[in-house]
Amino acid sequence: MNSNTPSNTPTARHLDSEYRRRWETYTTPGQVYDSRTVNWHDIPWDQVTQLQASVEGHEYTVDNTGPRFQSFIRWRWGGFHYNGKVPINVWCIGWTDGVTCFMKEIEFKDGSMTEKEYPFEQFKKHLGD
Amino acid sequence: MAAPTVRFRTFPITVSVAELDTAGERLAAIAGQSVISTGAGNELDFGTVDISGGAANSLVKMLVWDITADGGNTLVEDFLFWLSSNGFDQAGTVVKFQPISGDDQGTPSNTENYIVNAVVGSYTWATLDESEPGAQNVYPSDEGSSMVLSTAADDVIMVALYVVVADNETTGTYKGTDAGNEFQYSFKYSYS
Repeated sequence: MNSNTPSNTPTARHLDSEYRRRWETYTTPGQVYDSRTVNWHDIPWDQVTQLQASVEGHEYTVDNTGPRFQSFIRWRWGGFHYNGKVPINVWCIGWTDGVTCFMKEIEFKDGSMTEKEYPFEQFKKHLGD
Repeated sequence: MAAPTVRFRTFPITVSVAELDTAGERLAAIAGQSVISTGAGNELDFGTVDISGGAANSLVKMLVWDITADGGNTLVEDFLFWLSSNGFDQAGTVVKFQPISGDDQGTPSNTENYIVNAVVGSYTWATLDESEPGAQNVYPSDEGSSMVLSTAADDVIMVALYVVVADNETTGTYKGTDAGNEFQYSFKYSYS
């Protein structure tokens, strides 16, 4: 190892091309970005007008047209239910008005979706930027 | 985005305070540690609790969670831990938990500093939720809501646990998915 190599160099940002039948798209006026080719960290979020998740043939969309819209917000839930080590894997897309996050939570396995709300303060670090 | 790679460990409660008072020490191998929860036969074992004389408690066990590979993510937060299923027949049989910080957390409020050879009377404890908590209930030592990922996490989450076994609880071995004798928990976090 080169002595100048940082000991905690981050890994390359991951792409959803790892998965079958699952991806997100980020629509801007000039381009639609696909999470299979670009990581969400590299999206020009200030230009995004629509966020869509496609999971197992199910598509869910969030746009910025609501009067209280302030920002898109997205994250994923990980973890395990240790009843035989069943993974928790949920893709969450939504928007926030700076007080509440209005989320669509999509099960990775089958694309089923539940709508949930969370206090923005708990999740604000996940803001796309 | 791949999910981060996580691990659970346990370590003896005889480990000294000084061996756990920096994030670097907590992330590195802890003396006597073992990796747990990779599958059946690898569980965190609370041992045998004798209730022949009435309700009794298990020994205190330590649980450590951290991330060893970031999967291309930069942040984890909103840590939720709960007892997701149990086969106990008595309402009084519960799991008690205490979020733990290293001694480098000088003013703990959501956690308590680690104590060597902890017993039931060592920490304040709370009863572990048996459904998903509505908000974060376990913490890194700085008691923040998140941890930065750069290859790995910048700290671990530590929890002390013990089981209160109620008088007249149905005897048997409680573990995993054993029908009627389940003993299983869930851990959930958000990442991006």
